[in-house]
Amino acid sequence: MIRTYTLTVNGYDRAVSIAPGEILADVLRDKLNLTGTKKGCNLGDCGACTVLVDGEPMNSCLLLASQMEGKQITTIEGVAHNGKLAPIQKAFVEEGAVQCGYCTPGMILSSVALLEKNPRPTVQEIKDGLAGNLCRCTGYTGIIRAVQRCENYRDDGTCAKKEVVAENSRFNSITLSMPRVDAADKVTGRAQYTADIARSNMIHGKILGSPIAHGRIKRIDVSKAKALPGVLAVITGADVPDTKYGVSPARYDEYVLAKDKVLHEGDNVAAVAAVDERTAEKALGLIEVEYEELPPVLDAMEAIAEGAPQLHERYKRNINTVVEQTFGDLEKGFADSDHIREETFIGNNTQQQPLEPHAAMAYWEYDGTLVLYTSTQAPHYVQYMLAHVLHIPLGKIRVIRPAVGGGFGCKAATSPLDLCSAILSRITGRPVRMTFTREQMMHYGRGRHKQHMKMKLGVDRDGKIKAFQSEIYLDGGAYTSFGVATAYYAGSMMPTLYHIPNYQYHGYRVMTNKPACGAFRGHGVPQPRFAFELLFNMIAEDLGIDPIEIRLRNSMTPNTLTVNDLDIKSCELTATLLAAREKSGWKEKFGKLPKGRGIGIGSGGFVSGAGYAIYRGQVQLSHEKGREPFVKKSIFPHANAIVKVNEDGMAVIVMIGAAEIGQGGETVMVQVAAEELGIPPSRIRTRCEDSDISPIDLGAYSSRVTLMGGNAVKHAATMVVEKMKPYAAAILGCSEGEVKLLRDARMVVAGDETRSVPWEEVARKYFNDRGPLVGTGCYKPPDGLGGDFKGGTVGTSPAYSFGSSVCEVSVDLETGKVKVERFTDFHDCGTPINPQMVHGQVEGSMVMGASETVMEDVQFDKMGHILNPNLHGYLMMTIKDAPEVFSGIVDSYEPEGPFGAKEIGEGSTCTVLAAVAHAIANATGVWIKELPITPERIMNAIHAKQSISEVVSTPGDD
Amino acid sequence: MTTLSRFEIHQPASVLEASQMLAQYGDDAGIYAGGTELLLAMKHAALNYRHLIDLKVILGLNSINVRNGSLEIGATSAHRSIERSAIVRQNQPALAEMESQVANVRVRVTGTLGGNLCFAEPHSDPATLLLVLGGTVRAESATGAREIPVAELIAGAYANNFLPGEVLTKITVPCAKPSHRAGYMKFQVHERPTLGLGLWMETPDDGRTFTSARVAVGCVCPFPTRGVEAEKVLTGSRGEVEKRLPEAADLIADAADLVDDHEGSVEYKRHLIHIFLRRVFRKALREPVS
Repeated sequence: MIRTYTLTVNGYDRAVSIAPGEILADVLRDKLNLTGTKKGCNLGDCGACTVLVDGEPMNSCLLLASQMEGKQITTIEGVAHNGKLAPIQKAFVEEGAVQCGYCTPGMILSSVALLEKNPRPTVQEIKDGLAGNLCRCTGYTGIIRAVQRCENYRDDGTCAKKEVVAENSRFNSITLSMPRVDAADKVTGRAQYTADIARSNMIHGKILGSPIAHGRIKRIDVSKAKALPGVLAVITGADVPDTKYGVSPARYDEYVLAKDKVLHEGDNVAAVAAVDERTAEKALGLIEVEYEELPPVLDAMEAIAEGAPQLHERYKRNINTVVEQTFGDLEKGFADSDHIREETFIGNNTQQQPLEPHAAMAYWEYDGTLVLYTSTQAPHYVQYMLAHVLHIPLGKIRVIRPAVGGGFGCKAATSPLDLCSAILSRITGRPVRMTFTREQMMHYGRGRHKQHMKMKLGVDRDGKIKAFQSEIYLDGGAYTSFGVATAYYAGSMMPTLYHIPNYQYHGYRVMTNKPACGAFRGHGVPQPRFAFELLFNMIAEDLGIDPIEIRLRNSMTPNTLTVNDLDIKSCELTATLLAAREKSGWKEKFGKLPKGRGIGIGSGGFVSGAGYAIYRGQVQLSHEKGREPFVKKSIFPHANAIVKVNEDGMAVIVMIGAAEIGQGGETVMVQVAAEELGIPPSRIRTRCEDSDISPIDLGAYSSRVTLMGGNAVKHAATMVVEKMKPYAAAILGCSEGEVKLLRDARMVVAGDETRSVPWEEVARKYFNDRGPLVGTGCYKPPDGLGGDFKGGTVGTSPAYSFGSSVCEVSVDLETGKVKVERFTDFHDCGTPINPQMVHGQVEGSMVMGASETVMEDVQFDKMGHILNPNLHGYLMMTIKDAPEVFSGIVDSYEPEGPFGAKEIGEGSTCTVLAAVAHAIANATGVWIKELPITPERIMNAIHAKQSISEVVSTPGDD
Repeated sequence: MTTLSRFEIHQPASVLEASQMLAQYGDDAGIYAGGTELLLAMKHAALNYRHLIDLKVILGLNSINVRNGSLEIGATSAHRSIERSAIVRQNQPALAEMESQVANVRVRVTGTLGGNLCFAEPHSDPATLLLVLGGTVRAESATGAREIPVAELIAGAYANNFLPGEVLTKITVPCAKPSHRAGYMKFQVHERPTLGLGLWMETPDDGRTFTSARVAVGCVCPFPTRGVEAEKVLTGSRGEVEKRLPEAADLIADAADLVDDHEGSVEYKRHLIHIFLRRVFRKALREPVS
């Protein structure tokens, strides 16, 4: 029975019609339009929906709205007063506690509740107070810092944060730790994510997933669902285009909805649009599907066997991608080796788990333009794929990317929500919004491939690498997605860190009846890097060489062409090793710690943007063109920017389709533009979210935004300055060549800086005479990247990052429980555009990587059902597990990057797994070669070693 | 599911009224006493009540008192208020400490002890400790009231032994005495514990000998389980008891129906019982655990 209740929200009484059974989070969001309250899991696991009830933090997804009368409810919108940020909000903004922003409202409200009772909490008290509020971006480091320092941001506090200045005095806005441009929106709940956006007359869509992992659809009956009042459309495989889609053009193998077979639990079978979510969910339950169950195959090594169940006809023995590459003379390399060790390692299937679930909202304009709001990392590829599947020109699709609550790779491809919302909207003529539940996210997958890795490394007696052989089977799940690239990356990045003269890589990506795997932070590289680094540490131990020393002896040097034809320019791996060794106190600790405590090292690195786009040829509808021959150059620019000066000269708008997904890309674009234009960043805004406004950028994947987007923006800004110079010369009464741009928003006569004119005056003069003052810029990777062999393009990049992490752990030797205590990390990211954001990426990587190493794993039963399809079963590190992180940046300059910058976000993940695993080995005396390194695995290894040594030491044996 | 099916919510003025409602609606009705577990189950459509009876609105049902040497905790007392209660801290510190470690602060603020016990979630902490502290619950209905030992309350995973129309109104826990030693420890890699172990002992001479003991294990099995046979070997001098801890651990593991699942194998869970029995023994004696 619906009745009107009075809820007191943020100090005001609000009359709301509520049916019993309505959840507070939904009422706040949908009926009171307070969308700052986020839904991350809907099951009380993530804390994103935290609100205060009479001052106490509660999960609003587990409260009945009807029972909240008479209670004081505070949402994030009620924390700031009269447009003035509360001290905790200022602290979050200034201390780098905000990245994607999706956990931020909940974090702030939990902090408010804590600080109300305890204004000066210890780190442990902060961890207790914020326990269970999950964050996937910051590694909790910035959040703890912000809560600790909140006192400093009170109006009566003695030290408000000091003015930030560029760390490198050559610059004004580069090397400047300014707060993110979107931080204030994110701490107040103003930032709008896709699921927060509603259009009038909007309806809701839901997808029906397969309950079985492998089967044939014999019959679908949607009549009952269609008859349910409130249901506006029901679609199945018969109603969607016959065009398959995916990511790698050579392997499009997904239908929008299954046409014949379902290949994993949760595979998309049907979709519904209805007036509200509840009706849509009810309708899903009324769809009758009859399956002919087929035996599932769940293990990559079993799937390749003759006679195993086949998923796709085209992939014989379920082998989806084969990579067989040999560089140099492997046999000779091993023959020249003094020591060879071969080991097998097994990875884990982990998932990105950004706090914001995937979401999309689509509608069609009367002129046939499709407008899609979507939570994506790569708006252009979504546009491209919609054009491909829906058979409409790319230009008739407008993609809008609202705030994105994290991605880490799982939002880099077009999702079924993008396609289904567009199709359902076309049928119903109404805007359709769709979101995944956390469980659906896990069924959609696109997480890290579980890799089975056999590696053989040969070195001389000094530990110099002579030959390296790697054979990897990647468990790909049911579809290709990014997987072709994954299989190549797993091999191609290995020779970038150390000089490897002879190298063989065999990679096989295998299909199994599990959710498709894709590109997860560090795409394909973290697991083989973990395996290689651990093997390297084993060899160092065999030879009695310090593990950092053995790295130094092999360390990559600048301006090197690797054995697999990757062109390394700037490289300061050696500096990162030396700095990490020094700062961590390695020499005092390694081999000298008591039992149960350990220290370990891992190095890593990544590309700064892929050298080639995902599809070949021009930007056009993909089935209008045949398969285009490959040429070793980019056909179109990967990043494109427009810099537009406002008519009064006081504001500048940067337009580029680069996706802000929490990593800080838009802030980087602002800083680059500010430096190049010579004006403060505060005068610059971005318009990056709308493909109608901002030109193509390929997106936030392969760590490409800073280098490629930054270069495009820099070039566009240069054009603006060049256009201004003649007008400045006219005002200053000098020649154009004499005009000099100062960094403080002035143009002066070179040699006589007393003759100056304000920047905005020049801009106004330009507008008065010529109209709009606009610059454009673009960036293409250099031509000719990569070797002339199959797959020679994957791993190419304009630049490479490098880094080294030292990890310290303590292990409970009785239970096997690991506490990751501390990281000391140094990275070569070129010039850090924003050092605080660089540290934020590193802090997040350390915790995510450590979490993957010791606890994360998607687990399946024998029939292919996920055993832990939620955030209380799929373990991720909470604030209670968060280690201390020291992040340092070494001096480096990348000639190909804007102001010398390159990537940080993915390379920093690649160091971590091995560093943690090595530290655990160092603490326990056992090498564990299978991820995740759970307490039980540690205990089993310790017991196995003990029983071996008991056998060995049995008297009478000799 | 993201939405709940519709139901009616009732706000009884008294326990009697709540009981009458339960009797009237039978299997269609459930009690709402915090909702941290109930609403989850309803979102999963594991439970489909058409009537919810909100116990939290009944005045006085969240009081905490001491009477006749026992703590009396109202059924709708939130974990957080028990954790913070000076009365509980003073009279049964092991209970206050256990409550302070339940899940996270948001769950503790919302969830209630009564709701937790009724729900009988296998991974919950309180029941395991209450088993060894000798806790009882009071069940009231229109026809009368009875005291049920916690051991008899739990029928299995997610199942309790209430009769139709019975409402849990309070939890009674004997106050700690100077001769008592008690502790609860859990092993967890996340909020949801993998193992919970509670131990209670009586020592007339400050830990030199033990005259009786109660021990219970939770999380590793479908419901918290007393190690009755183990308790028999946990008496005697401290030296004897310590020597018999491994034997007791095996007896506990034998008594519990250990579950092989994604949190660990049966062998590993048995191993953990060994480790944690020794640790909780030390903890109960207020000694460093390892």
